[in-house]
Amino acid sequence: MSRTADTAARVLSFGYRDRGGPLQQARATTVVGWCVALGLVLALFMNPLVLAAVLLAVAVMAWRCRVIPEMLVALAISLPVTILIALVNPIASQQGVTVWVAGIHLPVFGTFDITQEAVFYGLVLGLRSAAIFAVCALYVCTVSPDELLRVLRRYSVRSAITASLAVRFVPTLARDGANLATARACRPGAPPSTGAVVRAAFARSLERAGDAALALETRGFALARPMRVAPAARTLADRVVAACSIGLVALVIAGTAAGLARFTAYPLTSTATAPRDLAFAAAIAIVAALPAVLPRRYER
Amino acid sequence: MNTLTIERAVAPSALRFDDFTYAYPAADVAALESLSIAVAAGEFVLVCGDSGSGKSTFLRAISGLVPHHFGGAASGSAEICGRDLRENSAGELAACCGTLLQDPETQVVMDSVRAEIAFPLENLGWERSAIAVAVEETAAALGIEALLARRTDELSGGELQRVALAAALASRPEVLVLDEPTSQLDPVAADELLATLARLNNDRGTTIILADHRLERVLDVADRVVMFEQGRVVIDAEPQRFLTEAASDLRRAHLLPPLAELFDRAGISPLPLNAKTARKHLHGITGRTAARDATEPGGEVVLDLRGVGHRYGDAAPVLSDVAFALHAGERAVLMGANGSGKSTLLRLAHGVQRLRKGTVDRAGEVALLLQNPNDYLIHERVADEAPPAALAQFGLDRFGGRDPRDLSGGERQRLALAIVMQSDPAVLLLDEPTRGMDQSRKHELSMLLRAIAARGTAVLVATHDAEFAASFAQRALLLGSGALLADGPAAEVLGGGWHFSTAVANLLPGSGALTPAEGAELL
Repeated sequence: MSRTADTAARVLSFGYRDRGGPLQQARATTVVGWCVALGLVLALFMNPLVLAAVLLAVAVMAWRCRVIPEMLVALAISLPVTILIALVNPIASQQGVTVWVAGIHLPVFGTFDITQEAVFYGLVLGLRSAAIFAVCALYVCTVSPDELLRVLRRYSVRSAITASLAVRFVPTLARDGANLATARACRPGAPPSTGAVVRAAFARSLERAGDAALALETRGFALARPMRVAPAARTLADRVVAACSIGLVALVIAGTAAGLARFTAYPLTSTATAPRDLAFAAAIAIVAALPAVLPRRYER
Repeated sequence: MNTLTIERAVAPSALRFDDFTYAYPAADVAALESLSIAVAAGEFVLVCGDSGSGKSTFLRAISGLVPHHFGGAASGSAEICGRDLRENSAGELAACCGTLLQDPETQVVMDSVRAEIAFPLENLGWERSAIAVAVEETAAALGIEALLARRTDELSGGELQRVALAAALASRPEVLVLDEPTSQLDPVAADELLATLARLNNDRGTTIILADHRLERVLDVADRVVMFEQGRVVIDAEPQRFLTEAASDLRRAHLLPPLAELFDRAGISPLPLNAKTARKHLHGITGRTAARDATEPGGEVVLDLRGVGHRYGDAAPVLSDVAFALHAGERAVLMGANGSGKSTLLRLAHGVQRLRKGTVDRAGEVALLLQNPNDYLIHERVADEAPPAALAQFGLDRFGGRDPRDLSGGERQRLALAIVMQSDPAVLLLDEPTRGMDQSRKHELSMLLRAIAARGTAVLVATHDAEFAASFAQRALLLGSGALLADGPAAEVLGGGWHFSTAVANLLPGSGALTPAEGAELL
C-alpha cells in the first residue's frame, strides 16, 4: 500500500463500532440527545474549565465504549484546524490591552499587534474546536447509522436513504481516490495536473452513483414508503443516558441563570475560577460521564 | 383404500419475451433485436457471448432496468413472472426477480449486513417480524450467519457479493438474475458463489439466469445455454449441444471451455462438460510429453530483487525474503492466493511503494499497470493521455479525439498500457489484468504482451488465471504466505500443482501440456 492509500485506510477505520459500551447499548436517538446536550454546553460556555470538563467526560466515555483508537484518529484529523484557529486569532483579532509584540508586519495581514488576550482567546477557541470534534467523533463511533436511518425513515424515506448512502460510499470513494493517486504516481513523465485528477475523481464518483442507483432500483427503492417501526424496548442504558442528558440541560439552564463559569475575552481576559465555578465544571463532567458506570455488554 | 394421484406438473414460464426489440437512448443499433425466448420456472440458464453482444441488456430487461431505468425505445412484449414489463418498473419486479450485478462494492448500500438484507424487504413493506425471520433464514441458507453482525465495509469482495446475493434472495424471488457476479472475485470466492447458486436451483427451484465468461465452471450445472451475438440469440441449447454447435463454427470456438477445446482440437467426441467426463475418455494415454517453449532466460538482468520483505504496521509480514531476477524479453507470471503479497511485491518492484527491507535493482524504467485501467484515465481526450507514438503503438491513434471513458474495456486497457509504456520501460508489471475479461479479450491481451516481450521488455503478470498464465508465460513464480514457493518453467509450476494448474494439466498430469493446443498434440 502506498503512503496515500495507507493514510486513507487509517482514516477509513473511523466509524461506528458496536463494542458493547454504555453508549452503544442505548438507542441511537438517546445517544444523539446526549451529544446534543454536550453541544449545548459547548455552545453556551467558553470557560476553559467547562471545556476541559467536556473533553474529560468524552474521554471517559470513549474509553468505556472502547473507541479510543478511532477517537485518536479523529483528533489527529482535527489537530490542524485547532492549531490554525489558535494561531490565526492573535493575528486576526486586534482587541486586548496587554500588548506582547507591537507593529509586526506581514504581507496580506498588514501591520498588527499581538496581545495576551488574543493569544489566550485563540487557545480557548482551539480547545473548544477540539471539544466539538471530540463530541462529533464520539457520536460517529457510537451511533449506529442503520438504526438512525430506520428512525429517520418514519419521516422522510428518500432523504434518510440518501444520507445513509452518502455515508456508506465515503470509504469507497476514498479508496477510488487513493487508487487514482497511486496510478498517477505510476505514470511516467510529468504527472497530470491536480485539476485533471480531481475531474477524474468526480467522474468516477458519478459512475459509482450510477451503479448505486441501479442497485437501489433492483432492491425496490422506488417503492419505499415511510415505515411504522415499533421502537425497541428501553434498556437501563437508555434510561441512564437520557437522564444524564436531561441533567446536563438542567445544569446548563441553572448555570446560565446563576451566571456560573463566566468567561470574558476582551478587553481583559477574565475566567471565573471560584469554587462554585469549579463545582459547576465538575458537575458537568460527572453528569456527562455518569453512563460510564454501566457495565459493558459483550463485544460484537 | 385411498388412491394417491400425482399429476405431472407442467412448469409455468418464469419469463417470456416475444419479438422484443430494444435500443438504448441515442444508439444507432438495437441492443436486443427481435428477441423471442421463454424460460420455464426452475431452469438454470447460462447466458454467454462476447462483450457488447447483448447479454447484459437481456438481463437488465428481465430486471426491468431496461427500459424503465435506462430509457430508450422498446417494442414487442415481455413478461417476467407473469407481469408485463411495460407496466411494471424495476422496483415492482424486485418482488419476484432478484438481481445481482458485477461489482460487489456498489451493490451493497447499507452499513451493516443485517440492515442490507432487510433493506429490500422494508422497501416492499414487509412486517418487522417477518423481516427479522426472513433475514435470519436467508443468512442461514447462504451460510453467512456469522456475517450478520458485521459492518459491510469490513467484508472482502467475496463476502460482499454473498451479502448482495442474500439481499437479492431475501424476498424469495421466483427468478434470480446474475450479471457476471464472479468477475471481480478470486477463484475460490467465485466457486463458492456458484456452488451456492447450484444449491438454490436444486433445493429451492429458484429460476437462475446467469451471465458468465468462464463457462467451464457452470456448464455442468446449467440446464440450458443461451448465446448472444449482436443482440440476437444465436444458440439456445442444452449444454452438450451448445458445445457441439460452438465447436462447429470457428467464430465461436473461442467460447469453448479448455477441456472441450482440447477434445475438439484432438477430434474426440462428445465434447466433455467437465473434467470427470473428460477423464473417462482419456484413460490409457501415457508416456508422451508436450514440447513447450522452456528457453532459459538469457538476456541481461533488468530487475533484480534480493531479500525483499514487507509488513503493514504491526501486522504479520506480507512478504519475507523474496528474491528473483527478471531478464530482458522474459515472459513471467506471478501466482498465489488472495493476500499472498502479489500486489505488494509488484508495487515494491516498481517503487511506488517504499521499500523497507531488501534491495531492488532496476536496469532502466519499470512500468506498472494496476488492476483497474480506469485509474489511469485522467484526461478528457485520448490524445492528452499519451504521446501520438505511444497511441499508435497500441492501435489507438484513430481514437485521439474521443473521451477515454467512451472506449471499450479492451481499448481502455490498451490506452492504460500506452500511458505506462510511453517511457519505453525495461520491465512491465501488470496486476490482475484479466479480471472480468471475456476469452477473446484475454487472447488479445496475451498476444499484445507477447509482442511487447518480443521487443525486449521483461513482462511480469500477477494473476489468478492459470489458463491465461499458460497461454502467455515461459516462467511462473508462486507466492504463498509472503514467500516464494516455486520459481521455474511454466510447464513445471503450472503443470505440477493442483489449485494453480490449468484444466488441461489436471487432466493430463505429468504430460507437460498446459493449453488445449499442447494437449491436443499428445492426443
